Amino acid sequence: MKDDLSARLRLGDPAALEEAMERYAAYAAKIIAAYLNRTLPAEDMEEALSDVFVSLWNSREHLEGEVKPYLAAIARNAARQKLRQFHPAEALPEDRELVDDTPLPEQQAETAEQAAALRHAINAMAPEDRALFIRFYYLEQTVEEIAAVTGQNASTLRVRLHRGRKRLKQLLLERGVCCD
Amino acid sequence: MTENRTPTEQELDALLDRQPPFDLEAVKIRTLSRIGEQVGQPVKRRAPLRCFLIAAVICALSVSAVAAADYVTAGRLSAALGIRKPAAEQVSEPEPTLEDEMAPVHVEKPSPAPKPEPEPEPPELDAQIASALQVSQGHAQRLRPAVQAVDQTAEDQDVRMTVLQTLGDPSCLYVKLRFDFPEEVAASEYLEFDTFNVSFENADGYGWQEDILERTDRSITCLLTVKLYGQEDLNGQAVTVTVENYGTPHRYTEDEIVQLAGEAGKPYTTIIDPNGTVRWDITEADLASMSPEKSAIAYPEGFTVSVKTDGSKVVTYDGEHGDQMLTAYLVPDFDAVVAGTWEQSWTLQYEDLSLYWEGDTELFDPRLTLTGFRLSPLSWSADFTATEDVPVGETLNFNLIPRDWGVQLRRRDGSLADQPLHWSVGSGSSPVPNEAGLFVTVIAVGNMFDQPIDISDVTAVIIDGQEFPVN
Repeated sequence: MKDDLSARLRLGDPAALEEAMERYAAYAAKIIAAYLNRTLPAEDMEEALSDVFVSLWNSREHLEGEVKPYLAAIARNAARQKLRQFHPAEALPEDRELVDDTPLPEQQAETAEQAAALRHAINAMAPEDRALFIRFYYLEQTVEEIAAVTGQNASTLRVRLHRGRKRLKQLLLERGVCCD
Repeated sequence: MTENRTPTEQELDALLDRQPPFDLEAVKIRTLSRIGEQVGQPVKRRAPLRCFLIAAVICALSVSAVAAADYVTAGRLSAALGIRKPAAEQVSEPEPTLEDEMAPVHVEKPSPAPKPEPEPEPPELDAQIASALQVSQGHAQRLRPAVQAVDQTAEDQDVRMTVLQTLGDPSCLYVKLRFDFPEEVAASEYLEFDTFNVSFENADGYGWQEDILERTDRSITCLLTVKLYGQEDLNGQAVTVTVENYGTPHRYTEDEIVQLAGEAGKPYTTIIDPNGTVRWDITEADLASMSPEKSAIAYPEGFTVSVKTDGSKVVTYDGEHGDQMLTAYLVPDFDAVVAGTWEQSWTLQYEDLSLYWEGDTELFDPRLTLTGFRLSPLSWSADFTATEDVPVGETLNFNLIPRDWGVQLRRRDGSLADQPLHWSVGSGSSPVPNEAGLFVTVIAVGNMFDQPIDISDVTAVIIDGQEFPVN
């Protein structure tokens, strides 16, 4: 059956927003907690989630397709704003890295099949590196943000990203997925 | 595509040690009460703070653009715009009075003006760098202002690392380094450094690679190539190069490699780190002291200690691997011949040889506006704003920009030269809504050239049939 949640949201149906909260509040909470790498008090989390769903409601006219990825983007931005509150004195970068000289696995994984292979390859990485790559690519955190929330050294993280990309490329090559 | 980049529940769970607590009903009540006033009303958008930050940046850029244009037009632009120049520049000689004119003329011999200190000549581009980058002698002379002589040495364990020279621009840097070894350490071609790290005081995204320029029995000379992804300027920043341990990759023997089961688990009492080193955090005593009620303890390294239903305790490596067998290495993957750390920091100071264009021109797609272009002998970069209907199109924005640009450079004599550009690095901001309710992303792309190009007589860049004058 076709999911009409985004269509109902676009039409301004509050019941659809309630349904979206039931479906995705836990998911959005995980994104925020993972992004910040800390457990927020329940009340703070509820406020953050409320911000996320109010944002979803306010931009409902632009909804197309699945609600989940759209909501994930809003939750990431909400977490980023929250992070700035935690580190008011730190100038966290506005921009984030997208690509580098090593052909990026995410750029090469343009189809769902390739993306699945990329996910599989990331899951096969050492746990420490896997967490770093999930943060960097799927939570879209900058190196500085990861350093800020995990307490790790930014330079060390860059080295691990650099080496991890090489390993990831090798894993994808072995699966016949990439590269140039 | 967006779905592909959305974290799954499992990936998020891997980053969390417990589920974040919240009351769904409280979220619903809070949210529905906040939207209650809006139901039935047109959607209103509140411009976030970042809009103002971006506006501030745009304002700053506009000031720069006016200053640059004013410089080029010898002040005519600022005069036309009614922009006042700083007061110091407006001070004029006082008009001579009649008394002044009638006074006897007494000509005083002007004392000879002190000779200005001659500007130090920029250093010559190192011959090995020039050779590696295939730069001709004449071109090397034109690159001299972008060269910085460093000549700083760090020593540890009688091994010396000397930073010799750099060649740079705002977004890339070449660094020539030499390592000198004592007699008892051979600079064998099988030997390498365990860690090679470059850091800047204020740059978020960058990558580097090292290439050997020369290897003798007593020394290794290499060229470090650093490429910036972000929009910061490398010039003026402090840079630190850190190198650790000189040795060789470890050749594993059979007894140094073990196979670990995934989900099935085995009663290991040795914890092996992902990098191959052995940890002894979990001992038999630890296992024995585990409470039967506590079914599992997860460790960040990916190991889980758990109590099975039959009461036995097992250590498993990364349950997400299912029943796959994993190869674990009992010793580190690097054997150090000289265990040491060599580090040098210095401030980058060289002339920016780049040519710039600034403006607002639609390019490649109606949703893309080119706002700036920079061309240096070493690299190029282009700044865009992308405007679209939905806020989740950052990936789409990058896809709007072709990877390969068939660009031509117009020379001073009017001739055209092909200069294909291929971008491989970029950065982008999150989309923010503008006054029209559209979402704007500020993005930059660019790349280093494989070898420096000569831009000494370039007056314009032609991209996709449009000509952009540069200066």
